[in-house]
Amino acid sequence: MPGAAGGARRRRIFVAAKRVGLSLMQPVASVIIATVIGGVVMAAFGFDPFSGYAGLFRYAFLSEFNFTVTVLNSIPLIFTGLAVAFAFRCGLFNIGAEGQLMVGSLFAGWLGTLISLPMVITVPLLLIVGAVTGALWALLPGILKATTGAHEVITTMMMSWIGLYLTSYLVKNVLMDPRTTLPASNLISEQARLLTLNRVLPFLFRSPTRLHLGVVLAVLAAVFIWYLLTRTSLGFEVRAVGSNPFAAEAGGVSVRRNVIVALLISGALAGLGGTVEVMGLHYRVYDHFSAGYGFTGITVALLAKNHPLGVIPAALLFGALTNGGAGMQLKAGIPIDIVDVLSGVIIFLVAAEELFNALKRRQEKRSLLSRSMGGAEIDGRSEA
Amino acid sequence: MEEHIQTSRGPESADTVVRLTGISKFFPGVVANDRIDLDLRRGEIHALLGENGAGKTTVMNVLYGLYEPDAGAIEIEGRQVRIPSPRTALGLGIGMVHQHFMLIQKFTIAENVVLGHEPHTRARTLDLREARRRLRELSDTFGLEVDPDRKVMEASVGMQQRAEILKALYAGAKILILDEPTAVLAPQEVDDLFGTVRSLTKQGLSIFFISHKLEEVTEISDRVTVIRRGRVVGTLDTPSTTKRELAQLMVGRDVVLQVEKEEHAAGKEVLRVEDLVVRDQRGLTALKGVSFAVREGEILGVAGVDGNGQIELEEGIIGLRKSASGRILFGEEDITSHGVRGRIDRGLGLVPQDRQKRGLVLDFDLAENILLGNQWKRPYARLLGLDYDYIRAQARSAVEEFDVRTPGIEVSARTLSGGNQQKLILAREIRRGPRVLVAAQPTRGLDVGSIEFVHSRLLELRAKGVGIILISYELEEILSLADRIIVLYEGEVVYQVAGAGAARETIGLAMTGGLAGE
Repeated sequence: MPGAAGGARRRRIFVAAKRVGLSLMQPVASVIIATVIGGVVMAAFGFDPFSGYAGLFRYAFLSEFNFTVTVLNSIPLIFTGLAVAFAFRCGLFNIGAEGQLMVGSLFAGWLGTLISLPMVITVPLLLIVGAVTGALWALLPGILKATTGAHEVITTMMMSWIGLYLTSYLVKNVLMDPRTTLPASNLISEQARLLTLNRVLPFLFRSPTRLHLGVVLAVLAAVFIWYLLTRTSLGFEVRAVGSNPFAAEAGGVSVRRNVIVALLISGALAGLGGTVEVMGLHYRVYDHFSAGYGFTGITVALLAKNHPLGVIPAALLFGALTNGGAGMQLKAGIPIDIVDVLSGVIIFLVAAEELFNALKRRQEKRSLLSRSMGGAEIDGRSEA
Repeated sequence: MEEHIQTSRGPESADTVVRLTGISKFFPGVVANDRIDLDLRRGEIHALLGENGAGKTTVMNVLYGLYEPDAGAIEIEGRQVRIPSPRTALGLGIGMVHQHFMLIQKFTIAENVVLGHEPHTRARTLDLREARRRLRELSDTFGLEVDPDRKVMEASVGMQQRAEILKALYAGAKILILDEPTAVLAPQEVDDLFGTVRSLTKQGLSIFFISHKLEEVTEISDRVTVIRRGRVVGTLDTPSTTKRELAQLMVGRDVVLQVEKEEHAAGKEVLRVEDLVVRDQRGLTALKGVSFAVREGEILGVAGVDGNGQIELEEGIIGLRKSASGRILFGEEDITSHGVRGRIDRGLGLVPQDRQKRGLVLDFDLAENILLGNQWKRPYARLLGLDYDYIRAQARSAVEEFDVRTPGIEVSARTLSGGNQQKLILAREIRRGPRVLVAAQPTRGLDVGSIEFVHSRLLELRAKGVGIILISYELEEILSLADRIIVLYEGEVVYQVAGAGAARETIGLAMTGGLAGE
């Protein structure tokens, strides 16, 4: 019966829409509340919050140039946000994305200075090298977690510092042009660079832009990760392990294998993030070029509630804050530190919201228990 | 509107310690309690009988201050009271022992019992010696034996329960609510508990006893109130009623208490376990060289008291735990080295004992829970990802076939009641078409209707030639279903017998170690 099937489909879409709406509500509310609190802080220090926010908004969005810089800022954040979110869906907290990003960009950039094959070969090759080396940097924590249970928060962090100092050493001692003082590698070959968007879509831009194809890759990565998580058995197994490893195991899922795979994919995403920066923006590997993208990625994932598509607007927000904040400082004289206040409050609220959710879940469980007393757990331990 | 039997409402007497009048409690979309009237007399054991989800625990949670009622009044000792929190309830002399214990695992029993009312020395430090002394005094008075210095995590379930009761008594409880207290106990422990409960009432305590088991209600209670769908359908004096009458009140229809089992010959052997040794979580040998075989169309009952290697057997067979030595043969093939996936592929299925931990991903929806264990197989999985249209169709037909009560397949498994969660697991495992099914505690905590359902499904599988290993702590269940019975005691098979010739007493003796070493 087509009518009934259509009804079921409509119902499913309705349920899905409701779920999306509900899950959007809280991050959006967090941002709004953070904005108000940020305003109060500005006023308390004698700044006019309205002109401050006007400045921030203007320098983040209003003009082709400002907007492209905002998007440019958000590209690495989309990758690192995805990296953190993906691992999190497997129940893993990859806080070493910063190191994976640097290591990936280093090896991709290095290769980029060495080869000058046609672009159709060079570009994919470098992207693969960046992803693979980033993944390899997450491999050891993955293996340690799977075999000994060593906590990934410690091991990814340790590997991150090793990666940061390793890249720093290699850039300064091996890749750096000895005739210059710039702590950076040589330029990568023309064929290794991602095209700027005004060269691909000239009709969209009035003036030349630095915005490059990396933004397309970032969005594609988000869509790919979303598909992987929600539509494939690999994603299903990753989520099952993240949600209940015991049941996953009984369902024929290897927890160890999935822990390693999830960290590999997470590391690959972070590595890609760095690689795209080098190939699209800097055209060389600077020592310490990452402005904490790996760490901001944690915040991005948190705000996106670990949803791959939610990572895009979340990254955009943080891209806008850095860009607009700089403008605000320059034009309205309000210190850029207010941006840190804003992101701090956002993190706090999103985290508090998790707390709120946990409380709500407990409430639900209690009301559930009245319906299913026999099998369900009795909650209310704290009261007893 | 429905039959309302009220045979035992005696004259108003000062001996009524609790009186609940017109208690109603609503949850979103559910009327959990609908104008419940209930009273408790001094020194009586008053059973609350009803199916899972009938509203027994809810009304007791109201009395214990966990919920505030939406309507109705509570009188304690003739005085109308409001009970906003368990603390208030304890102050009024009401204690509750939940089905799942609320003890701190790493504390000793003495520490747990005094928690919240700790005795102090003069220097205001915790006086554990005094705590121990008072605990011993209480446990002597009421005949509740515990080891005060044992950590809860190392105490047996029975002892943990006694600790919970002592905790309520220590806090000054005169009215005790026991929520399904036998659900976690072995048969011997149940007898001990009943003895304890009786001695408590002799000391003047009054007890609400929540249960869905007719057997124990008729054995232990003075009066019984049957609750169905949030309403009281009758309060009866236990001696003047019958199990059949209670069952009928409880489910609103006649229940077949006896399982109808067709006789048929079992086929050839499908699974053979040889000298299987499996270690437990702590690395101790929990299964010490167990051997048995299951044939097609046969139910092999594994009897035994909780904690004698059942979990290790369940997980050893399905491949969740590696065997330290021994072999598992599936047909002719040695599957000892295969993982869970390999064994599922060959036709092994598991209905796990711990259904919320092992059986379901509670935050996944019903469709994805049906998918679990099929995610690598066609037609669930295709070349590029999963076929969610097919998965949803499968889930819908599974829900329908197994009568899982749910508003839809897109709700999370967490929202289902215990019985429906179990039906969902059964649906998944049975529809997979196993050749051998390990069913561990398949009816634990389920109501009469669901138990009947599960049993008839297992018998259907048996008729289709599936070999079934039924691990259960309920001897009744094994006696009524199994074709052959083995008894596990301390990780060894100490007794085996054909189901037909099984003497309950001998099995009971074997379960408690009375036959070990012979």
